[in-house]
Amino acid sequence: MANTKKDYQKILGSVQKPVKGEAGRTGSWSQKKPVIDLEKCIPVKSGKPSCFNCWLYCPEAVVSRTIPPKIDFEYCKGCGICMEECPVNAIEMVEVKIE
Amino acid sequence: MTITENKSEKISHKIKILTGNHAAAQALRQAKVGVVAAYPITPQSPVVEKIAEFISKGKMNTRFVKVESEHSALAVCCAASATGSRVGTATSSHGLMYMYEMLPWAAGNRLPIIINLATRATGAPWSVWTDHQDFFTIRDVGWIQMFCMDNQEIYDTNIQAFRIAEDPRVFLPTVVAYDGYILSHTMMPVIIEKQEDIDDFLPPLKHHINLSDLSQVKGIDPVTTPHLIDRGEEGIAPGYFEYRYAMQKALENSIDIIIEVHDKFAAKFGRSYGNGIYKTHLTEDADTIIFAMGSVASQARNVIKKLRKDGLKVGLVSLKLFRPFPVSYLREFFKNKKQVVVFDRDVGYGYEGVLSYELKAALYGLKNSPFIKGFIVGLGGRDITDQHIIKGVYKAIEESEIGIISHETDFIGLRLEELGDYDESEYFKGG
Repeated sequence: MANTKKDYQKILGSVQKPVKGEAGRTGSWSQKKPVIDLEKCIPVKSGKPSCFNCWLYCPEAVVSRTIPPKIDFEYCKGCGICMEECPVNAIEMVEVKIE
Repeated sequence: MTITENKSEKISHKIKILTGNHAAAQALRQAKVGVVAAYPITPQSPVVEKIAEFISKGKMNTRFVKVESEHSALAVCCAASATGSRVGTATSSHGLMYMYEMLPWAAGNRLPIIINLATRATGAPWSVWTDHQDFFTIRDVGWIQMFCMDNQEIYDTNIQAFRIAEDPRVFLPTVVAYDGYILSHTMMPVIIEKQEDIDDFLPPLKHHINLSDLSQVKGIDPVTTPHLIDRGEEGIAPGYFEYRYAMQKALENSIDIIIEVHDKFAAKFGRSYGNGIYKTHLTEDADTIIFAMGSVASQARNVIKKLRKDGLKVGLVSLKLFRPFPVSYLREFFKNKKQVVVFDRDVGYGYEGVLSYELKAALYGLKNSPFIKGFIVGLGGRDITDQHIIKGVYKAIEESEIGIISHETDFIGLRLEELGDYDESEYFKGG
């Protein structure tokens, strides 16, 4: 038990980077999936790394910080937060069939 | 409060005549809190009114967030703290109880938020006057809880509380409580230290969370499972059990840091409060100890001389730190005392006074454990008089000598006999 003090001091509230797939393959949770309209998407239009609200707000870390942003549907729960946060309404929730 | 003079230094502070609430506001101003979110409630409101005034006069560079309830107030405080900001607020009674849902989140996320609590009775029936019921409702949420006895102590404890809460070995939110009206609205001389001395004592917060740093996307509070979580490239993360263990250990070990910060404060500013966790008055030769908190302890302090003239060896322990409960210190202190008279300005409803049963539990299994007798006094702001304290002490000593151990609550200061034939049950009869 001599190390107890040191050990507990490393645990300080659950601050974590989102990691995809923590709760298993969550892609099957929702029937609607986000689809990005690349003609409206700010980083695509400007060609520069910008905006990335979808990447920032995604609670499951399934949106990539790339141009264009890519969504990993294997883990996307279809919550729609990215649609809500997109400042140019480039994201639409579309019904997707899952095998 | 004990003042140790330091004559080698020039006087560098101001003395102001302040209410307890304004002493708290001054401390928050000098602690340079970044965000204050609060909702008005009697008797706390002057704290945040004064802060709003400081902000409007440009004396404080603070974001004041107006909210629609205390629940939102603490939610804003939690979010602001998680962005790395120093955060403080104030509330009372039902305001604190409305915050309750957010309190364990603040503790679990280890956010060093300071709440000033001007204590007030809880309804029903409606009361705005002081007792300590609200303070004890949050006993088990993981906050550090401290209680003050005068306005200087409110100011000093606030400054210390930030340093304690923000210590990397602690990182826990803290409640600094003081009696509503008795301190919150009563003016006393309060030493306000120079800003640079406070800055020196209280360096900027280095938070373990900083959500405003967008170079790293982080989240707080993911669903945390009963088992350990494999987070892939992030490694193995703790489960809920480990987080709560860490929180409890941080609380247990914070006692050392609370004493350390108190001692450093005393060395720097020349004011000390007992050993930082409780204050004693004439206890050295005492065999009977009065154990109380805040206004009750102040009242008890007044009668000790009188009791000593009657030949009773009475002393006072005024508890400053309630959570974490300083068990080992109290066991050491009480080991050879004959009897303890506990005055509670609260009831652990359905059991007995909270301080009374907490002390009994703390002294469990102690060899030569003292006889402990608890009394309930002063609920809802009922005045506690010298006579009440004296009556309690004599009754406790008498029961101790006979050896009566009763588990029924004993109220002092009730005036039932003056009610005559008052009968409310008449109102509830049908028809």
